[in-house]
Amino acid sequence: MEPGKISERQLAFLITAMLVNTVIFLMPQLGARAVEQDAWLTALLGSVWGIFMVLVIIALARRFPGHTPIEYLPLILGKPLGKILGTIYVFWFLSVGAVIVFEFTSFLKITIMPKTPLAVFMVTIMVLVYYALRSGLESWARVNEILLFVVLVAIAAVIILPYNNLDFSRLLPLAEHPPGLLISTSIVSGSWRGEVILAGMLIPALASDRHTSRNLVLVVLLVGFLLAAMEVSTTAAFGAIPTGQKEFPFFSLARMISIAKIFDRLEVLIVIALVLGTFFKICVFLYCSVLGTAQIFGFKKFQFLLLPLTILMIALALNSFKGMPELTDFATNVWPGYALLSFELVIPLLLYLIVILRSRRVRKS
Amino acid sequence: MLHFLRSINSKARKIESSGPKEVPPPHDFKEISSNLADNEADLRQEFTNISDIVFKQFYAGGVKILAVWFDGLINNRVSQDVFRALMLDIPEKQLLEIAKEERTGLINQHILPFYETQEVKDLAEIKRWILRSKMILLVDGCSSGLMIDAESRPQRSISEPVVEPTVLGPHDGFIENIGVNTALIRSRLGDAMLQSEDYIIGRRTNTQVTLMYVADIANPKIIEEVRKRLTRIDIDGILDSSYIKELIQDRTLTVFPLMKSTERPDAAAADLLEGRFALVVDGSPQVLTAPSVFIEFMQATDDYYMSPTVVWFIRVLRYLSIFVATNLPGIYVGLITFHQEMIPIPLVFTIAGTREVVPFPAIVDALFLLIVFEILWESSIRLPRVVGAAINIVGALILGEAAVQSSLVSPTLVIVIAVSAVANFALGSRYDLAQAVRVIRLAILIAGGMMGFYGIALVSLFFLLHMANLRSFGVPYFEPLAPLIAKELKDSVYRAPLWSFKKRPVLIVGKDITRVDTPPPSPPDERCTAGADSKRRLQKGGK
Repeated sequence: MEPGKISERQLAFLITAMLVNTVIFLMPQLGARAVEQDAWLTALLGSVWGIFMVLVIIALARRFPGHTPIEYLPLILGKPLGKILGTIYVFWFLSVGAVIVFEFTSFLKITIMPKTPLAVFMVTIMVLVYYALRSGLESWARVNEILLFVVLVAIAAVIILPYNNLDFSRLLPLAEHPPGLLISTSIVSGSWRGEVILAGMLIPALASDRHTSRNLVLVVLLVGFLLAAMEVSTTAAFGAIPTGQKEFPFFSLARMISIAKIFDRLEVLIVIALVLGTFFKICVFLYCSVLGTAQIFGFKKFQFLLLPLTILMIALALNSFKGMPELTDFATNVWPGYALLSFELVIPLLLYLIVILRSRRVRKS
Repeated sequence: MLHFLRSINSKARKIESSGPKEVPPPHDFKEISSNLADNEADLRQEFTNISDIVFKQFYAGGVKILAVWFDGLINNRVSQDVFRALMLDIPEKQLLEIAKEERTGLINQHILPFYETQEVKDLAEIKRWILRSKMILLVDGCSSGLMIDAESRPQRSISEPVVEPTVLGPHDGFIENIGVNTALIRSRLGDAMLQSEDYIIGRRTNTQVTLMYVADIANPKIIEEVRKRLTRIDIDGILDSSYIKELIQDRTLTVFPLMKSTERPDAAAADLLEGRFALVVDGSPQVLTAPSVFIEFMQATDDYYMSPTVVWFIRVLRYLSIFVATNLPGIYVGLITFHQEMIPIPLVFTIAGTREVVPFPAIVDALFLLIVFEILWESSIRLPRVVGAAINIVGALILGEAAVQSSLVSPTLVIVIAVSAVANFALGSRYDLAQAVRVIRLAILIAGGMMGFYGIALVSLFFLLHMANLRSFGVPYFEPLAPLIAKELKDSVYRAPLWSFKKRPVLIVGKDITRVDTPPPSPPDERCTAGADSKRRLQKGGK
């Protein structure tokens, strides 16, 4: 169905852009609120969940080469049940995409242009997402290949450049909190890492598929490492409790950057770099919903679904939350259950078990 | 069926043979009559109301001969030689003594001292040759004519390229004559694999277009594609190579140039060696080469004639200048309007001081000055050289000095626009890219004025996506940056030494991948250096 082909590196870069954005400006405060100075440990622990999800989704993809999850769901569960679950999955893509649009545009509004209505940000970025998707997977995957460096350099700059203000004694005592709390917090962090399952929708578009699982595991580890470094940096800069109280500790950290005491207040550039990354994250989510919708109904082409679903995503994003506090509440209380504990890990795992049991029964008979 | 034939006939035609060219059927074939008077009547009827055609009848060897050509398109010296050979040097009655049908053959093979001649049996073809500035001889009693290539069209001599001047390297440029242009390429590329095909394009102009490529380097699929696109052309006239470019490039709705046009034979030869093809169009000093990629437009020809270490610096400068040219006005307006906190504090006071007296918001100011500059640029190109001084006075004095003094614009803005303009001129040798930059700059300026850096990011992203989506003859336009091909970055933001270009561009080339197999240069063995010798001698002397 997808005419374009992407390389393994392009897939890995897309997934990196997807995993590293938005979590980087929400997780530091959420982690600090839950486990204070141990937040960075939970970020690293979250990678374990991520790797687990990579292995499950790759194992499923190996069983059904050339098929997306939406296509092999009916093969596993039978047509009616598979189509229903597929529809739910597509809605999940669309709704999570809308949440991302909301949190990202809110972030932009609060940090750089407080007087501009949210809808302006949403419409402008979604128009561009629409244009990108219309020109095909190949072209936006290519652009991401260049721009990911900008995003990673910007994040690294935020972590490293305020080194004068870092006081690492704020990270002590280490692992003060009970392991149960650490693990449950790591589920929050891992829920973002679990967005890696969207790779399942992109794997059939790969030109070659030899190192995909290795690449994705590396990507998950890299993102976990970056997030942990970010949490170390924010905690060391502000202390654990103030980090939890800040709206965007990431942004506050970026404000501390000062080069040679002449160039300071560079946080806008950092935010702009994140625009470039989050753009591709939204692209992936919208692409998966469009492709999934087309595959549920068995359409040969999906381009005509692009415009209605883009508008739907804007509408969902506009009506999703009243503001950042509600979103933060969603991210701590609802999101892990909506993501890791259902769509990202549990359901794919159950599917894989069914596949194994079925194939064993087939072998017996 | 007839309609079908006619429709093929009106389209571009490929000429099969090399050497003296002939128009292949299908076309309205008409035999030459053995009666000269009939032929003459026919030709005169075809070329009625044309004042500059010459019908010259004369006798040679006792036989009546008709010569037809367009006045001024035939080399005078050659035509004199033709008449001398025919009228004076033929023994009396020699043509009368042989069979009538063999007369043309005899003239062609024994009498005329020219190599570019051809016997023609078709009157329609004869007409076409006359129109394509050749000389025609028709012999009485013989049903074939003779085409003599004594073409000498008015043309300027080879001179320094106008658009792409260089300091180092060859200084000859293409001219408006296709024969000279192909010769300039051929003389640089002495390879039997440099093949060429001729096309006649344009229903009315009958313009000759030569497709050149190195057969074993070029990708056969791309060559087949360009053949297909060339034969698809059906248009009244081709007046410049840019007509061909616009008719065959992958997409017209874009600001970026998708085919490179160069007036430097060395640049064309270099492109051919990379597996690209070249299109030489008669009447145009710009030779098209494609498939083109974006980074090509960031390269200048003399990048390859200078030390790579120096070129590294120059390339970075050039990429910096395209960034400045496109983004600086937008960034300035974005900073002033939205992100004042980013400006270093001492500078804020200066800018605020100069802007205090200016009544307009920064975006209005910037748009005004930018548009005035664009108008100035446009008028300085169109203006006759004689009145050129006037525009300098208006531009430099009135717009710079007086606009600031009348506090219409702030002096900082004048600097910003001027720097951006100078940076734009730094891309001068790639004129079509410099034009694209003008449009992008305007888009980014408007976005920066409306939404600050966020707007600039969106517009830049749009142009990047657009570029990644473009293709030139199927080759991704933004290659090797997107898709990222790490090995080919050697010739992008920096230029590696020549010996390190081991492979040709992988997405363009066909079979022969290896480009350079020279080992990297190294200092000689110590034994044969003069320095070591003298050292040893010194040691001996010391003993």
